[in-house]
Amino acid sequence: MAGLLLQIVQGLSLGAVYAGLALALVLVHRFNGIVNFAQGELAMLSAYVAWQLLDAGLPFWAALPITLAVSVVGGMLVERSIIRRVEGDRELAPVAVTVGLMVFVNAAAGLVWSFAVRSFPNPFPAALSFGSAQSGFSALGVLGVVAVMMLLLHVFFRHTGAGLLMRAVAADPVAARLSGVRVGRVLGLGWGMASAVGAIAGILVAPLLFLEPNMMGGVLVYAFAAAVVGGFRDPVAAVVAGLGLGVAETLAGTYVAFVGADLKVIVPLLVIVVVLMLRRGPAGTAGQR
Amino acid sequence: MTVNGPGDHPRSLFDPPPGTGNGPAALLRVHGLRAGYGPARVLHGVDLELAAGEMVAVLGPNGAGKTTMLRALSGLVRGRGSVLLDGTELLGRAPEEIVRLGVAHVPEGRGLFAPLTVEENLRIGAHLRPANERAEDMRRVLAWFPVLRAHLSQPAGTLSGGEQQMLAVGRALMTRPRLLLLDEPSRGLAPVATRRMFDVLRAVGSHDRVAMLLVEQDARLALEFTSRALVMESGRLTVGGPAGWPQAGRRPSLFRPGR
Repeated sequence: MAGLLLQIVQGLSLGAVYAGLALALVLVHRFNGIVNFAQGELAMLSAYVAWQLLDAGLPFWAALPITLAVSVVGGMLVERSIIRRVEGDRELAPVAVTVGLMVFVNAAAGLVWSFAVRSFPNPFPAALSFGSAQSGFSALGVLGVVAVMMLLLHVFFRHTGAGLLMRAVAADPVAARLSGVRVGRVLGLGWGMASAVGAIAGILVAPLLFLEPNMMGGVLVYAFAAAVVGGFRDPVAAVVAGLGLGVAETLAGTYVAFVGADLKVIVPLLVIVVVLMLRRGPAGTAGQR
Repeated sequence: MTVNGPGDHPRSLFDPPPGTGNGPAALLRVHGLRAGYGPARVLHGVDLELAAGEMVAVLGPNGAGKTTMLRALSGLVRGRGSVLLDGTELLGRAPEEIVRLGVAHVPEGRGLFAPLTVEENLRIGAHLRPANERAEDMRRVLAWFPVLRAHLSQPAGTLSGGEQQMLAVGRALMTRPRLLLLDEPSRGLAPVATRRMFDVLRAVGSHDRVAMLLVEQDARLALEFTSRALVMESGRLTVGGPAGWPQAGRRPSLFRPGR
């Protein structure tokens, strides 16, 4: 029973990472109307920035805010310099651009940091370990950080003037311009925030998966599945789906004999296929909201 | 400016009221405005002058370019020629900058933020205003459109058509414009609601000296509430005259029955 509980906590913490990256995907899609295939690689890049800072001797909780700031600025620069050119293009251009960005960032990271696997320090104290309870504690830490991040996002969007203007742009960019909102800045800020949210996912998952340029590839598949459940629009649905996927993956890998560690990735792919089959029309155009 | 009371039709549609039109007091001067979508040219040189506080109707058949003219004035479509607001060239500026200069556009289809609440819609309209004046502006708009008060925390998309129209106009007025561009504010409204809306517009126009350019299908209504009417035909504005402007009854298609 304790084993099952630990599995669930473990699954939730993994799910929190998926939820974080899914939230980043939803953010970008709501503001720019673009599915950002490079979201995972940008998160990986942020994890490397954090690693570099830690390597230079900074404590984790100092490196984290610096990494987030770098991610916000970096995301805004990417949006302004590359994405802005294909924004509003309904066809394949945005997909091609973000896929290209994904491949480019991956290769560039390999060039700079090599494809060698590095260990990434776990920010949560391991000293409190009682055998297996240690991983439970660290899992709760991951869950806590993602929860705080979501709370901050909620407060920002619901209770600040800037958040209101960003929601206005997400609802109707033309009407927002007619109300005097500088939409270009909001789109940039949306990318920047998504990059920071993704960065948190990357930094939290790095100690578990070890740091390497391909680290986020698998995570992105789960995040996609979670975002699809929310139609790439609904942040709450994406987060809940991300958590659920984490638990389902962990439990399936442990308790369903033939799934095991290798077939776990079937779980998110199944979710994508089933959700798309149940919804009429492609993801995002399906009815609500 | 002169204001016609309800039911008091102007003697001539085409005489600009004294003190408006061509004088140096003109707030808006449009000269040779051309605009279109891609290769399709819609406006072929529009000339127009509007004084502060003046309310002018733009009539004309569908597809004549009325909506395109408003969109060019607010920056939604690129125009060529010259559009001076109080001496400042508007052409070439983005819509969000033109709003800051005092031009509010209530577009066709209202352009509300449907998932956001009524109050949030109004607050977005006010975000360019000084923080200490927003509450007062909100009170003013809610006094003009008291129905909105009951729905403040309701998503705008759940309002009735008439309420949405009031919200759209209210949000535009929250920006405290000098020039208000209205694209068929009567569409989808019950006659009573329409008259209420126009009463408010006239009161605001004369009290705050807001100039208004009103695109309207309901010619009789437009003529009743505005001081001047222009006709858009094939991308050009014609200022009536017996030949250019059909008299009421001669072309009934311009008028809605039952009023």
